[in-house]
Amino acid sequence: MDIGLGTSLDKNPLVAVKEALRQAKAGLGSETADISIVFASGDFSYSSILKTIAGLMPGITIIGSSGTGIISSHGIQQHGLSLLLIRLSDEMYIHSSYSDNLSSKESMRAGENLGEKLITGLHNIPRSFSTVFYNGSMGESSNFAYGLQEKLGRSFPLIGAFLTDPIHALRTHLYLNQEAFTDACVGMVWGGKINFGIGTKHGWKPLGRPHTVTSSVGNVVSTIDDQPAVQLYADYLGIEVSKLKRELKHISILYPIGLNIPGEEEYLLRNIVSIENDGSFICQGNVPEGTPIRIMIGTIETCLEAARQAAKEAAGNFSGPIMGYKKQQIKQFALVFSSFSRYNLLKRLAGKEIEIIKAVLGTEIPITGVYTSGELAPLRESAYRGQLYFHNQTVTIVIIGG
Amino acid sequence: MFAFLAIFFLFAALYLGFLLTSKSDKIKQEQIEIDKLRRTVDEVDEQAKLVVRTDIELNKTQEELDKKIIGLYVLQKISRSISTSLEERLIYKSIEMDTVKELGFEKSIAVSFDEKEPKFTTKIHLGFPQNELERIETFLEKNREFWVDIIKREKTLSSFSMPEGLMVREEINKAFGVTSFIISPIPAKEGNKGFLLVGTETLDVPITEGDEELITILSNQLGQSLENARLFEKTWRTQQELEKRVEERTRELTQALEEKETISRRKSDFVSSVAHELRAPLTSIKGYAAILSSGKLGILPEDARLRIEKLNKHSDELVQLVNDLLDIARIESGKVTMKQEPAGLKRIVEETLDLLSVQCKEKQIELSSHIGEDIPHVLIDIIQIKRVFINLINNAVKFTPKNGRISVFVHKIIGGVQVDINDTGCGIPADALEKIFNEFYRVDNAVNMQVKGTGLGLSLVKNIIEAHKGKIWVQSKTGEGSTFSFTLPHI
Repeated sequence: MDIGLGTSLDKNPLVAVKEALRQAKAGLGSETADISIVFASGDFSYSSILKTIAGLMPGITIIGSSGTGIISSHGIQQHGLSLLLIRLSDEMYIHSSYSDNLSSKESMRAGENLGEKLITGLHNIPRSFSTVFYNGSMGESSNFAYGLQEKLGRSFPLIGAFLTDPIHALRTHLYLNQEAFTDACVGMVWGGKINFGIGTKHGWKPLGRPHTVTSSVGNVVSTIDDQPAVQLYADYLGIEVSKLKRELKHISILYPIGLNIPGEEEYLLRNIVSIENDGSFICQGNVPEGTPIRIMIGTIETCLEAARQAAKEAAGNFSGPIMGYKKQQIKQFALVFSSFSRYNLLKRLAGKEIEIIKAVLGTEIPITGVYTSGELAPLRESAYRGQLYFHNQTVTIVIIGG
Repeated sequence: MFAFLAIFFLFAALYLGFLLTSKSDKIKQEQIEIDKLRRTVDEVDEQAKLVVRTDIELNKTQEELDKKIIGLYVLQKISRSISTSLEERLIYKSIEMDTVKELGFEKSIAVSFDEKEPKFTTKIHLGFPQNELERIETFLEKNREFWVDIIKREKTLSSFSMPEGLMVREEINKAFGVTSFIISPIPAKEGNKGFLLVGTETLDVPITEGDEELITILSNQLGQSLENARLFEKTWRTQQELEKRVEERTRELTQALEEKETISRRKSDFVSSVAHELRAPLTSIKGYAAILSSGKLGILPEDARLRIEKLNKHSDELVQLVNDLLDIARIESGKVTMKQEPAGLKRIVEETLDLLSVQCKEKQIELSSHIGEDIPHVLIDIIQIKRVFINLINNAVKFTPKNGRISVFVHKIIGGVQVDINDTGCGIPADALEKIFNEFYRVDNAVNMQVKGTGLGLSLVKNIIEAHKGKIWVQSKTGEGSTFSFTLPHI
């Protein structure tokens, strides 16, 4: 596999694509490539981007999305474009597909639908793992993952990114070849002689006594310890509900709730999206009734440390040699999905997160990625038992090599 | 057997009782432990609450501090840019999208209000599509009273200081497409006032007091810079106007001077040609008069001889007048160049005094010279300068009564030599001082009534001195004598 990364900050999409392609081709050492993974800020015209890439690289598979912020080896940009070119080696395969109109489908059915489409392209080829992006509103994202795994395999490794643009209130677009989708999911399955390593961490720690969700439906938590759910925050923070509502976004990032998942050491985070008048609150992701929860606390330092841990975990999980390849022949790149909540917390230090990841992975591994509103990943890959979770506030790193 | 059973049951009952008691104690003990643990958990939970509350305060402080640091950095950047601009357009242009974003906002608009028209004009708009501007300006016009009031009150307001749910707040949010905003008036002592609005579309960025302070500083800075620009423009315009007027005046003066020079040249030419024309017949008249007077053509009767002598004398005076006129005209027209050579004034003064000593003796006038030893040589046309001395001392003799005094002083000055010819004569009236060097000007006094003169002597003297790059002036009071002074530059 050969890899080349290019980025551009130019506001003109045509110029930006050309600039990024020039850099990527230089890194790739070739004028042709099989896949282009593209992340661009939402203010770019997606059609111009896709048409330009397709025009300049005929026959290439384009996959990616627009997002609030673009992550690359060169740092973080609210406006910009990152383009990764991949030339697959022999016995390395990839297939991509999409499923649209997610809001009209059950999330499990949507997952199954995408899973079906993905496996059709990789018949009789050992599948390694899958990457999915989605921006449609659907119920529980874990059900979506479950549906995908139903088709791809129960313990099939998968990571995903939920993409919205909370800053600009713009719709994000998912790219697949020359098409751009909203309310959809696009995915790719990697197969053949390929290795990968996943690391996902958030950096928040539990605080105070455990509480129990006594009433909830989906992502609406009505009562905790038989008290209106919002009371938990009012008690811990010592502020009135009206003030809590006003400062919710900020508070929710600093003190999300942590779901204690049986058999897992790590807590699964949930941001509070809104507080309802009846005292219930809506989370970004489901909170099953009966789940033991804790108030979580994090700092800039723990957040950055989590990035270091995630990178270490991904590097540690990257499995050993590939048959028929010498170690030095294996080229790697990293996909990084960092929650936009982390960006909000880190602000001007957000770039440091990428610096830390680069320091762990090594500067020779190109990084590309995007800020997300939720991440699909296992809690710990080393204890991976086919269970995927919908995360909030994590940094999820997947190293792909071949 | 029965007794044995009874004893057995008794012991069993006792044992069970003991066991129960022991168990109950254990349960009680465990309950105490559980209660203790619960209390500890409660205490830890309370401590956790305390930690969260402290943490939230710390976070807020940290955030506010971060904001202030960024804000101050941004302000410094903008200040540097706008304080070096003296053009309104460039001052507004200093506020860029990146700067607004660094301050934590996505939108910014600066509006100026012209009271005379009256009209709102958008000066900068960042983050607003062009097609929204017209709608915003219509909104401002529609609520003109409100906005003018904000501008005039010069007080910053924001969604932080305005109560939530207030109709105005919602209207502003809607009009500018924001969820939070700060409006800060741009003050102005003169010229148009205005306001700066910054806003954010995201709900999770609450405006704080610190934000308000920063934007207030920014708008004040803007106002100050715009004021400076206005003052600069005003000063610049005044200066331009002044320069224009000076230029016009200079042009007029140059023109007038040229005209004067032309007239003067024409006059000199005219005088010169007339004098030439007069000199020929005058020479003939004087020649004939001399022949007649000599008696070569026969002895003339006494009456005729006297008249011929008068004719001869008047002809001499007329020749002198014509010669003086010719000299003046030549010097003025530049036709006569001074034959300058280095010379000491002492000798010239002594010769002149010697020449005029007879006249002085006749009038019993004390004639003296005071010449310093260190008087440097001057570059002069000796004949012409001697003429100056003769003219001035002769005048002094003429206007000094008997027993008077005439003193000639020569002393060194910076850049040359100054000569003062002081007399104890009748003096010159103040109104005549200015005109005394004019051609044909004669002071209206008793001496002039008796003594004839052409009125050209002082004019000729002035021309000679000026041709030597010197200056001449007179100080005098009626009845107190006069001092004629002139300077000559040294070599």
